[in-house]
Amino acid sequence: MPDAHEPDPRFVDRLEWQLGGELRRRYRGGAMQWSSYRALKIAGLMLISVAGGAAAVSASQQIGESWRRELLEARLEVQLELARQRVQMHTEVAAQARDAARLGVGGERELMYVEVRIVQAQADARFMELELEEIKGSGREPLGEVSSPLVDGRDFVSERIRVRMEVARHHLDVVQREEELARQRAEVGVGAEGELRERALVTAEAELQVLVLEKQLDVRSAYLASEISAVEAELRLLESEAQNRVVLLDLRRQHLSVELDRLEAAIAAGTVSPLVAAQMRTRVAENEAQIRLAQAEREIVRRELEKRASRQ
Amino acid sequence: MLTETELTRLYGEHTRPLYAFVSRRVGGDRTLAEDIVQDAWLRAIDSWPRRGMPDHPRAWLLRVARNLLASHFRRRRPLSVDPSELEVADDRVSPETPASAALVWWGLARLRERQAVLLEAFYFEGKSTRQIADEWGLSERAVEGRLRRARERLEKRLRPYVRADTHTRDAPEPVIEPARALRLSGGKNDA
Repeated sequence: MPDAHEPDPRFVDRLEWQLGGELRRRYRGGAMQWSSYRALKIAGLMLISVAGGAAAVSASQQIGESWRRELLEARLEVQLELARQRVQMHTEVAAQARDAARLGVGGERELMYVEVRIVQAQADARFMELELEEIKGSGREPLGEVSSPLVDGRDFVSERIRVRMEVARHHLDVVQREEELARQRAEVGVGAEGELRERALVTAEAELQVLVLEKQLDVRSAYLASEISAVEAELRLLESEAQNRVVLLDLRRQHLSVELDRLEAAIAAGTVSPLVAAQMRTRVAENEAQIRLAQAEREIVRRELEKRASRQ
Repeated sequence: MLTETELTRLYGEHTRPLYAFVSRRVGGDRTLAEDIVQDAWLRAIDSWPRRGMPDHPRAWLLRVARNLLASHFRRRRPLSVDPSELEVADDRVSPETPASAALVWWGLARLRERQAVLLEAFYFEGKSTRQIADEWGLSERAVEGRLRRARERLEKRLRPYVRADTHTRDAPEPVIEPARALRLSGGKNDA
């Protein structure tokens, strides 16, 4: 009899899919953008898209009423203050962790993650500073699209991408070190089976994250140089994201395939329940479906880009 | 930075326990349980990349889910329930229907947080007074005293919504006898 408190598998799958999408959108749009959009919703300042490119910033995007602008600024200033406090706190924690490491009571991994939090906190604070500067300079909500206009000649979009890039590069460095530690454990026979493959997958994903940001900077630069239109800029980003997703899912397919082979061998030896392999096969099938979807997205965007290119 | 692979791993590890935690507290109301679980995860992917991963992601998710539940039920009037819906087989309050869950949570949401958490630990999570005493750094006797006071307060909160004529079919609203149905006056865990 099924457990009444077990989730519906369709819900579990759908939510996983939704969360993956939200996470990608979040990294694409900027760490702080999400929360500031939420703040804007509260203030009733809904934005509409920049359909016509840099010159077509809608009047509805302007924070026309001073009290609303003040509200948004006040919110960001409070968030910025909190972010600076987090930087301070993580810095103190890091100092303690370094002392502990020197005394031989703290591990390298612990220190590594403390440093990650400092970098993230510093990036958050910098991100908010940039958002505040943009609001003050433009009188509107910060814009995060690659086709957003400059503000008094200043490119806030690229500046924020570079802030995210610092975090992404630091994260890549950390996961590479984690992979190296896993490799060392595997070499001396104390690592869990599959851990190294899992770590390699995480590293690949971190590398792709850096590539995505580099691509954003390239596209932004091409847009500002008037080499491509706003729509084309967005399409190029979508194409790049879909392509990276195909690459990542393919890596995951290889990882799952090895895991499945290992499980089937264990089932044959009678050490693992067949149910475990059935669950793994489901994950493989889900991954295949995601690959097909990412490929379809990539093809649709490419066709649109080709269509636009042929018109020119 | 929370990567998709890490998110997938965490999601696989914590979603079912999170759902079960919520579902038990909403009497198996799937729609509500799914909404709360979804909201808790969305908050996680909003917070974790910015503030860093919590040391105990599951505890974080459960705490957020609990707050969402409390917030949800705080805004609602208690639903009328058939007394039989809260006839529990053992001494635990484990609402079997969404309506009875709503009633219990409505009451819990109006208690002080520590009292509500204590009742939850005892009734929903099935912890003994000894386990709670260990976790909270209290003596068993102190836990028993707090449980008694929390039960009395919950009963008081629910009393205005309870009719004495528990079996009157023609009553305008279904009724409930909380002390009996919720076993508020005692349980097997009471020393």
